[in-house]
Amino acid sequence: MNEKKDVRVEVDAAQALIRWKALFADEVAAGARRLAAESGTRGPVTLSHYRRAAQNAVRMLSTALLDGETSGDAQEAA
Amino acid sequence: MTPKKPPDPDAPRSRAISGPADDWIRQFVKHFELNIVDCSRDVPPDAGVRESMRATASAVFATFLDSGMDKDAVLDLLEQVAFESISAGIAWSETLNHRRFELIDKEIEQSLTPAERIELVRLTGIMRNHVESELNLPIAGVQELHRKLLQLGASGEHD
Repeated sequence: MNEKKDVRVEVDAAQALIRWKALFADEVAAGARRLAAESGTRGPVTLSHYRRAAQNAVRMLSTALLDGETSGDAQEAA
Repeated sequence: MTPKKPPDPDAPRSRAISGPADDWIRQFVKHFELNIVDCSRDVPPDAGVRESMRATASAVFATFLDSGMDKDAVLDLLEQVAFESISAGIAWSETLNHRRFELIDKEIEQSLTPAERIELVRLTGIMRNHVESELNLPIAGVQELHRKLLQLGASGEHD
């Protein structure tokens, strides 16, 4: 049996994952630019800025996922 | 449509991209992913790679349309990119010239297939690159005249 062929993924779920990834990426990019601006250096935004911004964005994403779960549960219950 | 010269592979590559390019990439990837999910809805579970590739191509096209381009502009852009990729390093020859005339004849007879239309654009691009390259421009006489004028100018300054 090919397990892969038996798996079906809801379109809503696939779309949600894309939006979470995009949300995370936007948050990291914006946060990294803020950190770079605050550092006062005139160089490009660096991997170090991205790494620090990603740590903050993970926390934000976790909150966003919990909020989405709550509203999703409410929708399913309705 | 005038094809651009391909980038010099030996030129030093920048280590940074612009902020707007970075924003564009993230937006494009997000839209592309949403479109590819949409285009894959009807792909059956036992579909092969070919169906997935077709869904991917449809998603690329839809994403360009999402970005505000119209269909003709997307086709032109994809043709141009395909041309640059396929034609890099191909030298213009009598055989290509002959094939181009064949295709032009078919175009006049309105019997050109879509694939032949792309081939004609590609051949025209290779020919233009050949004609416009410095080696093929009849500029030796102009260069000589330019040199003489510079000499005259220089001697005039001394007078």
